[in-house]
Amino acid sequence: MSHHGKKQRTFLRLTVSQRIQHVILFTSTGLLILTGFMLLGERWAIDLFGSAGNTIFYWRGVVHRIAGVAVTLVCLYHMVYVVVSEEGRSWLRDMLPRLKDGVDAGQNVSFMLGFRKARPKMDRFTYMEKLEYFSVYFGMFIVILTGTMMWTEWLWPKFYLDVADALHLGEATLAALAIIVGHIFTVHYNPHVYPMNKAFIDGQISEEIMLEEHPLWLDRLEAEEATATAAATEKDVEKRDDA
Amino acid sequence: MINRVYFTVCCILSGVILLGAPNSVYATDDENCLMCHKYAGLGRYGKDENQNAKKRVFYVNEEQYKASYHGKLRCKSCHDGVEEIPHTDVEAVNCAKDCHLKDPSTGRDFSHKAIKKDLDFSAHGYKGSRTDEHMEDLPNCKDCHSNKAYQIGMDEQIASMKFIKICLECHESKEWTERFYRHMFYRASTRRSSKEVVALCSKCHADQAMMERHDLDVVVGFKDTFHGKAIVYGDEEVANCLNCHAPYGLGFSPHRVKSSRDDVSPVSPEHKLETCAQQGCHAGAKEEFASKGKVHASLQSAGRQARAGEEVSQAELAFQTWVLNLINLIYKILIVGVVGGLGMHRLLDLYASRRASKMGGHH
Amino acid sequence: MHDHGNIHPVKRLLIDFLMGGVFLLLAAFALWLIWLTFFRGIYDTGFSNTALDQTEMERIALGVGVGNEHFHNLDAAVRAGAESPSLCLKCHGNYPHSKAPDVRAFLNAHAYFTACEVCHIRPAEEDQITYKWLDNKTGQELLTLEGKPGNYGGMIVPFRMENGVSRRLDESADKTFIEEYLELRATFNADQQAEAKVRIHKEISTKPIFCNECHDKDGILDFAKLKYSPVVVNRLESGEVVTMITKYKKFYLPTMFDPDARFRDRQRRREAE
Repeated sequence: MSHHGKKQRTFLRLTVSQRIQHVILFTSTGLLILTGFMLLGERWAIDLFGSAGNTIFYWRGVVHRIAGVAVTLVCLYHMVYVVVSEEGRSWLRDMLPRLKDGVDAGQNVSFMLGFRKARPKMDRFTYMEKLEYFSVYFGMFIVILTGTMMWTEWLWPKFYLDVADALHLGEATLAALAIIVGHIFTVHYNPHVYPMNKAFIDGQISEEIMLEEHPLWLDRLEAEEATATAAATEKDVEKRDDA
Repeated sequence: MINRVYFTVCCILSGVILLGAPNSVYATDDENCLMCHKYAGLGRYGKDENQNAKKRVFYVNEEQYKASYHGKLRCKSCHDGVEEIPHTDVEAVNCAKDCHLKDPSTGRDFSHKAIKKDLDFSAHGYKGSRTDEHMEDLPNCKDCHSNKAYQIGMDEQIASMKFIKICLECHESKEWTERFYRHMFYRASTRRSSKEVVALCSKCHADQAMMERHDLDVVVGFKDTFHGKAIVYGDEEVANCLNCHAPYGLGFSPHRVKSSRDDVSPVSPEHKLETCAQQGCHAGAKEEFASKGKVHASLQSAGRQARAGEEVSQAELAFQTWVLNLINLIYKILIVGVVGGLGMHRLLDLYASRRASKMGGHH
Repeated sequence: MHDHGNIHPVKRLLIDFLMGGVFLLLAAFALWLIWLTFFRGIYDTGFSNTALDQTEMERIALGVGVGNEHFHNLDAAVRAGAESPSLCLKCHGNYPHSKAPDVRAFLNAHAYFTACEVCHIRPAEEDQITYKWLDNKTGQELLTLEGKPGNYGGMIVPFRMENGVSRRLDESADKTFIEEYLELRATFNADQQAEAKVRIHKEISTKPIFCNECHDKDGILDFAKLKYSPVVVNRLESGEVVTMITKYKKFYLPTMFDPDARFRDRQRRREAE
C-alpha cells in the first residue's frame, strides 16, 4: 500500500503467453456468446433490425465461425503448451486437483459463514480457480465437438444434429452464466479488485493479495528465491575458492 | 413490416397520382362502378363459410387498382352478374373463368383454369385432399393471393425510363409497354419473402383445430429450426416451407404441393435427400442426413393413426424427444447447481469480507 | 478500494459509471438467459400469427397478417375509418347498418363521413339544426373540401342552438354516463340495460332521415353550404345519385350510367358468343 511509504513487492501471476491466450479466449468467447444467443433473440428485438436483419444474420454466422475456430486453436495450443513448455508444465502441476482443495473448500466456507477465524492458506491456484479451469476443458470439449458437427451438418443424421444442438445450447448457457456469475463478478466487481484485477493485463499480483489469497505460493516463491540466492552465494564462494 | 412499407408506398403513390390527376381519371371507369365503390366506408357485415360474421369491404381504391396485376380489367370481367342495384345477382368471383384478355403466348383467351386444376389435384384441392370432409377449410385463390400493385425498386424504375424508350420504337402504346415491363420485371425479381411464406402457411398449418379436423400434424417446430431462425432475421437463402414441400427445381410448384405422406412428395423418404441437396443447399448430404429425424417438430393431432411406411416410427420419435428433453433437464440441473453454487459462494465471500472489514475496523 | 486513494474523483466517477453500466448489462443478460432457459422456453423466435389474436373485423379492416389482405388491397382510408370509431360505433360497430339489406352498404358508406346524428336526429318544426364539416383531427370547421369523395378528413356534424349556445349533437351531454355504462354493462340485468339504453338514445329519432330527404332539391342538407362545388351539388341533389335512389328497388344499372351504351352492347354480344 502506497501510504505505507514502502514500495510494494509484486509477483508474476500470468506470463505473456498466458495473457495472450486469455485475451484470445475471452474475446472469442464473448463473441461466441453474443452471436450464438442472437439465434434465440426475442422477436421484437430482431424486428428492430428491420431490413438490415439479413446482413446482420450473415455476419452473425461468419463471426461465430471465426471465433469458434479461434477458440478451438487457442484450446489446442494450450493443451500442447501445458505439456511441452516449462511454464506450462508448472502451471498444470500447480493446477492439478489435490485432496487439500477439498479441505480448503470446507474450511473456506466455514470461514465465510463465520465459524472459523481465518481463511485456509491456499497455494498458487485456489479450489475455485481450479474448478473454473477444468470446467473450461469440459465445456470446450462439448461445444467444439457439437459445433463442428453442426458445421458439417451434411455428414450426420438429423437426430444427432438435434442432440448436438441441445448440448451446444445447454453448455453455452451454463458457460455464459458461470462466466458472468463466477468469473467476471470475481475479477471485476469483487470490492478488493474493483474495477478490475489488473493481472490479466500486466501479469502482476501484489504481495498484499498474495498474502490474502495465495500465502502458500508466496512461501514457496520466497523459499525458491532463498535457495537460488543461497546457491548463487555458494557458487560465488566456490568460484572464489577455485581462484 | 413489409405490409407497412407497402402501404406507405401505396399511399405516397396514390397521393402523387391524386395531386397530379385531373378529375377525368374517374371517367375512365366506363362502368361507373366507382360512383359508389370509391367511398371508403362502403361495406357491410356478411357471413363467412363457417357462418361467422365477416366484414365485407366494397371499397376500391382506383389508383391502386389500376396499378395492380388486374388493373387493365374491367370490374365485370371478374364480377359476373352485377346488373342490379343492390347487387343481389352477383356470384362469387371464379378465378378459373376464361378472361377476355388474349394470352399473347397463344393468342387464345387467357385463363387461370390450368393452375386452378393443378390446385384442385394438389393436397390443397378438393380432388387431391385426402378426405371429403371440411372442404370449406381448403384454401381458395384469395387465401394466398391478393391483387397487389407491381412494385419494382427505384433502380429498376429509373432503368425502365431508358429501356422503355427502346420498346416504344416499335410498340405504340406507352401504357401497355410500361405495364409489360413492370410485369416482367416484377415476376422475374420479386417473390414472397420467406417470412411471408411461413406466416401464410402458418395461417392454417399452425391452427390446431383446423389441423385436427384433417388429421394433420400442427406445425409448431419450424420456428425452432435454424431455417426458421434465419428467416426471422430476413434471410432469404435458407429454405422456407415451399423450398422443401414444393420446390420449383424438382418440378413442383406451390399449386402442385403434395402431402408429405405421398410417395411422390419431395419430402418423402425416397426424395428427401434430393430435396435437401437441391441448389447446393446441403450438397453432398449423405443418406443418413435426410433420415432418422424430423426437420421440424410437429404437434400430433389427437387420435392420430400411425402411418404405414412412416419414416420415423412413433417409438423412435418418442425416444428422440425423450433424449432431447433429458439433455435439457440435465443442463437445467447443472445450471441451478453450478451457477447457483457460484452465486452463493460469491455472496458468502462478500458477506465475509464485509464482516472482516467491520471487525478489523481499519483493516 | 485500496488503489483508489490517488485516482482523480472525476475519473473515479467515470469508472463507476462504466462499470455500473456493464454490471447492469451483464446482470440483464444473465437474467434473460435464466428466463430463457427456465421460463420462456428455449425457442420463441416464432411466427405467432398476430391475425389469430384479432377479430375478423379488425383483421380485414387493418389488413393484419399475411394472407388476410383484402383482395383489392385496402388503403389507409379504410384503416382510418376503423381506427377512430365514434362513441356510437363502440356498440354498433364500424358498419352499423345491417337491417335493410338493400341499402345497408350505402348507409355504412355515409357513416364514414357523416355523424350518426345527422340522420338519426330529425330536426323538429321549431328547432333549427345546422350542419358543418369538422376536421377529424382538429375539430375545426373545414374551409374547403380536399381529398377523395367522402374522404376529406372530416365529418358532417349537426349543431343545434340551445339557450343561445350552439351544441354539437354528436357529442352526447351524457357522455360520462355512456362510458360508465359501457364499462359496467356486464354487471347490469336486462331491465337495467334497457333503461340505460333508453336514456342513451333519448335524443335519437325513431324514424331516421331517409336518402331522398337530403338527396333532393331543398333537402334537409344544404350541400352548397357544406362547401360542395356546384357540379357536385347538382349531382347530389338531382343527378345520378337521385336517379339511383328513386330507382334502386328494381334498377338495371348499366344503361342509365353508361356514357356509351353502344360500346356496352358490343361488349355484351361478345360475352354471349
